[in-house]
Amino acid sequence: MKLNVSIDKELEELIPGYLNNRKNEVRQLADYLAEGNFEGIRFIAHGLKGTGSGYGFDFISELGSELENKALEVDVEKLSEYIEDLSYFLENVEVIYVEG
Amino acid sequence: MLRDKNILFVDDQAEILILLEKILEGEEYGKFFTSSVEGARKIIETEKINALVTDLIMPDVSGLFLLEEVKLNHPDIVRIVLSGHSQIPAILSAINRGDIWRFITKPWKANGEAKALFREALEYSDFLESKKSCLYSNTVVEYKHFTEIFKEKHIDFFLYDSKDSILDYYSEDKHELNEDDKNEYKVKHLNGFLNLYIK
Repeated sequence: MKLNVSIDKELEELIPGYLNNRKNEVRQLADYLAEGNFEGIRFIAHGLKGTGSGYGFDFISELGSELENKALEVDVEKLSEYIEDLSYFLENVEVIYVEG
Repeated sequence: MLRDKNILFVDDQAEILILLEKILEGEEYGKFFTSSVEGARKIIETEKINALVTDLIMPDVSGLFLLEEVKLNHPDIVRIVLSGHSQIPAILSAINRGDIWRFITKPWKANGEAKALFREALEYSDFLESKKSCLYSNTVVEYKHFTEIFKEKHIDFFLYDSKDSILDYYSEDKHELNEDDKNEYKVKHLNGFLNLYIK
């Protein structure tokens, strides 16, 4: 199922690179989780929270916030679930560019 | 004229800077971007910066140190924090010390509201510059000019005497002040004190 997200056309040239960087981070998050590197997860999560909404992806910011909290709590089960959610979102998001 | 003004953005997340550069490309003021406090220091020393927008948590030096430095050495630079909710205690501390003018919490929207806030910051920098010139020159300001400046800036303020008794006030509802020949007043408004001679 495609997940439609409307983004300001002004940002069109930035979006593919932004989403590609997030896909790389999903792999990094999975590696960190396997290693038990929760500080590494927290660092990436903080970045997701800070940038997501700015680029028009509120879901990424919300997930980043949750990941950051769960990394602090060392909640492996929830972290695994949220990383999968992020991966699913990135694989299925369909951006619709709209005039601002 | 905003085109003569400059804003410096400091954030260790390159994607925040790239986004800001993109959404502000139509704005007529100058924009500088750096990912470190050290970079910010260099730009501030070489460029005329009117407003600073900084993250708080950065790997090399905290944005709080930068804010304190700028407050001390360049008090006329308007200081804005762009930072996450988790840093609210640090933000409140900075507000209470008078280190910052506004804060924008992450996550944030790249929309017109941010642009309006940055423009407002540059307009406020005009006021700070006028305040600085008054303080440093200790100039005798004509009563008429003084009231015109404040009316133009839509600033409500109070006049205090040296014992901190309220002598008079100016607001949208009350536009006249008691006129004296020549007195030193302490003028209090939302952003602090000014010492002016009014004649």
